[in-house]
Amino acid sequence: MIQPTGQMSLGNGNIYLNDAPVGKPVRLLHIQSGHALRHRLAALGMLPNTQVTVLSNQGHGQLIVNVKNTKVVLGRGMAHKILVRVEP
Amino acid sequence: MSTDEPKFGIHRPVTVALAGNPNSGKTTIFNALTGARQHVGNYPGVTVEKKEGHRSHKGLDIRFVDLPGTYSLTAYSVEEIIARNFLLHQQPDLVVHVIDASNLERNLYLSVQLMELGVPLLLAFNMSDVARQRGLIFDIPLLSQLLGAPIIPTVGSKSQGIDRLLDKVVEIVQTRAMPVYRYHYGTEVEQQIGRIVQQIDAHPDLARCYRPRWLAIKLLEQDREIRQEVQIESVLETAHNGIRHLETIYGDEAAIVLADQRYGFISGACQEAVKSTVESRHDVSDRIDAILTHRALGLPIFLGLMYAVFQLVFHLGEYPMNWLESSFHWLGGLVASTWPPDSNSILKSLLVDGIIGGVGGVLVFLPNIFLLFLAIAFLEDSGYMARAAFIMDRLMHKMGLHGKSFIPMLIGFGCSVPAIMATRILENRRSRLTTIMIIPLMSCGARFPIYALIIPAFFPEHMRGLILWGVYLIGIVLAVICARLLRKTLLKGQTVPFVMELPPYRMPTARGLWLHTRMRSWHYVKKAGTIILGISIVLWGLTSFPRPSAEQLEGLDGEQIQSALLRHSIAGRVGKTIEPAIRPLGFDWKIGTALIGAMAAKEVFVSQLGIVYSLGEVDEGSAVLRERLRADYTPLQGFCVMLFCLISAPCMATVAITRREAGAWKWALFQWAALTILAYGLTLIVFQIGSIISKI
Repeated sequence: MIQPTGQMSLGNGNIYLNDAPVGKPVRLLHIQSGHALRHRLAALGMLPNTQVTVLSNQGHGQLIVNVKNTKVVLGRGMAHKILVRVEP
Repeated sequence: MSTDEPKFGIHRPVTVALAGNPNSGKTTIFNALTGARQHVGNYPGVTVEKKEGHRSHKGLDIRFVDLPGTYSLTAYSVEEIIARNFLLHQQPDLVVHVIDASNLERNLYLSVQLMELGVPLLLAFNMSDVARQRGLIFDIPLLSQLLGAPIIPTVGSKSQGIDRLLDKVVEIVQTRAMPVYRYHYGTEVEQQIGRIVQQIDAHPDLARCYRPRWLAIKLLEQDREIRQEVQIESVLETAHNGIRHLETIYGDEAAIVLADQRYGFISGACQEAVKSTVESRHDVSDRIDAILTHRALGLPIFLGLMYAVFQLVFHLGEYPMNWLESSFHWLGGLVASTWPPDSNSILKSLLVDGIIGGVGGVLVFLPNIFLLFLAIAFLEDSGYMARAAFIMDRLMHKMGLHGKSFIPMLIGFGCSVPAIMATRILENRRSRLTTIMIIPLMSCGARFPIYALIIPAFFPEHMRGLILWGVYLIGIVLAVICARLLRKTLLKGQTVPFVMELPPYRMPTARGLWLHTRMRSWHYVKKAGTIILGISIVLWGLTSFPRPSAEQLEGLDGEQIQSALLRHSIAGRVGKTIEPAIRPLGFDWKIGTALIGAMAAKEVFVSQLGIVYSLGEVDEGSAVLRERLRADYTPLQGFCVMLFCLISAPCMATVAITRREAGAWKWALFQWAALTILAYGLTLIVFQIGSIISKI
């Protein structure tokens, strides 16, 4: 189910994608950005409630993320708008 | 989903559009379908490549149109708008959606949107061999039934399944079978769609132009293009209410709700009809990526590869280039020999100096261009180009550009023409235009003879390397500044959010490489035969007319005649006329005349200067010319000539290619004028300040 907007916050185990541990699946909760980016990510399969895994994060620059079995390169700024929760 | 009256009538030849995600193997399928019978152009007004090809099958003449690769059909990128408008307005008889079968869910997202458009759809499950290796087993009949569209498995790289695909294309087109798609959204969404459709149906004009259901979905998605088109208050209001209603219920944007439900439907279909036998996720691609995108190794490997490409292009290409050069020389001699040796025939001069010299001067680069495009095709088809962009992105970002811009800029050190053509790998128009604009600042191979002439003439041996390095560096620094400036002013606009797929590595096929390389090289040849031929003739005219009278030439030897002819010509006169304007830069009319010649091609500067000094044929190694230069000018003036030649007026070939690739003369003219003004300003400052310092 899609989570309601605006009620997501950090704490209770939620983190931004750029802080997600490498190699651990995380569940996408919410994307805090404008239309264009949300549509673009949606087309690539990055929707709320999807499972994604960060494959590469060098602490700066872009991240490589596995979404639905494809590798997607994401800008760091963008990753900082994507709220996720580490899967148990 | 209702069966609307089909808008897709039969007209000959039959048009079939190829749609699909980038990296889905769409191009290999297109190549396998059409073979060599392809035509590449640009979509009007935009820089997106338009590929078309023909194929006859079972007596039917089929025109295949390769649509730009897209992930969806929203209005957020040029490619998406082009693909969508083609489907809406050109109404192809059939759409073949090429799907990467090993990555089904993401690919089917586009299928669902194609279904919404109401186009007749045939799905090609491409790379089905890779899918099998990954342990995926498809129940094709069931999946076809669930989706409501026929499916043919293919392996584009091995041309497997192509005949079956063609059979099916012919069958669908001939039976005019209209599909009945089974895709539905949830009740809430369908209710809203129904309401909007009702409103649309009340406006027959609108309903005639668009499929009402599609229009309703796009309105719910707040598609900006469609909202502008509709402009009917009642329809827009119903849509607005629908959006608010869905947002209250689902707590997210309506567009996202729709996307989520599409993926839900796809995922459901896949769960029923696709079995995965292997759980391994770590395939070969992952292992290669561990090295090639490694934080420490990635950059050195990339630079090494680029160096290899450079070497390949400019060293391996040198041999055939020399052969071509001597062939043109031989041809020129052959044509000239039909006249007596001392003939001043205008026709001889036009043929030998104007046409063979001008067109030949461009065509000799063909081997380099061919090798370059071969290397680019290899990097693209193998999947490495996306990694290169990833590796370079951080650096290029500081210039307001995308990582991929680095590749054309690097090629620019060889020649601006192929570099500007290579900007086709950039998807974003603004990034592409910015890159095109700054490429002439990468000091190309044709400018090297100028440096090679001037540096030894004015500078002591131990400083020569440093000066040469400095000239190249100035070009790079200016390129960085100009790129930032352009991105902040004229070509402003949000930097497109950086999202890019890293496709799995694949071995490029010989056939694919050949087709790409041949097609792009052929474009270069065609250009040499048309635009460059025309400009060569014009420049020849400028340096040849008007001719002095016979008395004026009396008593002069061959080389002095050459010099007199040039001084008397329009170019020579213009050189004299502009002397007051270029004197603040430290240039006299001789340099002015040579600069006018350099507008055709940079290396012409050297030979023109030779003519002005009536030394006959000279090249950059000419010691006599260097002595004359040393006598007439100071090292500061020499440096200013190099600086001006580096920055100013890109050569004709660059102007012509910029016009073609940017799609409008205004960009070519802007580039030409802006760089010339920049060159003037900078040289002025350097010469004036330099003169003051040297006086102290």
